[in-house]
Amino acid sequence: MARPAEPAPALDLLGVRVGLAGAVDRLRDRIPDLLAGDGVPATTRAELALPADADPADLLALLTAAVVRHSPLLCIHAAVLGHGDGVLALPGQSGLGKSTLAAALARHGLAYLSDEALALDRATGAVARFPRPVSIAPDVWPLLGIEESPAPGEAERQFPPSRFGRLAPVPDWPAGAPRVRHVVLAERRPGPAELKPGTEAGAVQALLGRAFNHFHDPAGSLATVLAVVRGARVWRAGYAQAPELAGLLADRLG
Amino acid sequence: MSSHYLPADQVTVEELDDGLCLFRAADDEVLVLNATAADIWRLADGTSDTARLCELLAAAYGTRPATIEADVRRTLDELTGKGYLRAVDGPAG
Repeated sequence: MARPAEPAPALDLLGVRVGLAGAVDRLRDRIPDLLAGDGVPATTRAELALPADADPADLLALLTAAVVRHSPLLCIHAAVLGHGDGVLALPGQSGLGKSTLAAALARHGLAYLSDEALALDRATGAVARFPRPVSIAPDVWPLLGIEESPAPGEAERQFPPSRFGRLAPVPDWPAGAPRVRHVVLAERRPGPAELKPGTEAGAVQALLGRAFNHFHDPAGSLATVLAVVRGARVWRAGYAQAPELAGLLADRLG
Repeated sequence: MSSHYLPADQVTVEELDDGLCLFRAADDEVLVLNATAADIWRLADGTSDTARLCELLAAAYGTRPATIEADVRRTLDELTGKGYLRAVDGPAG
């Protein structure tokens, strides 16, 4: 008698049940911190085919894109660290150094939530963790205490976030999840790191401008962002080296 | 003749501590204004023409109307072009 087909593997991430096909095992091996869950009940579904010949970094990028696009949470491109009973969010485009900043802040004792997505419950502003692996270029490894040598031609390596510090715990969602207390608008530029008060207008623009899925509910997304900004302190930061800014943030906001 | 300006229909205004956030429901567009642009927006209530707007803003900022006129006109043009303001020929009743 034929055995019943096994159900397709699926991951629950940021409220999305992601049905996976293809190179599932190669992806699963890379995401132990994500597999530990985020506490957000899945209310939507997405299907993702993972090409067998794809690089592990590309598999992770595919998964991330599917999750932040389909999530019922408002997902914004940002690094996110737990700070006291709240959250510090650093919105920014690719290349800003969010991953390095997130790893450096974790080394300063802040709880790691994500180097990629500020995931907000639209109604309450509760923040979910998304601790995917952190891609770090070899030239930054010494700054983060990474003592391995890169392989010839290695452009980036993915490290589990737990390597750099503690992960934010899986919360009782949404009541027990942290809220945003600080929004840091960071800019890379030469010179010593500095931190100054920022503006609500700048924070609204930065957060909305980096949203992955605001199109699901534009008016509601704006309302969520406004509530976040009004409930947080906004900072402008300039920096050349991520560890220096991480130290400044840990000292000033601690 | 210098135009008067009014907020376009279906524009929602959210006050920020240092500016304004405008949301246009018709096409779900958002525009964030800094403090200066927000002042221009607040004065664009249909009662003052461009010259009068410049006078009011110049008095508030302690400068001469001619100094800020180009920037005020550019902001009004931008807000009108993006559909957040509409120009009318005379003072709004």
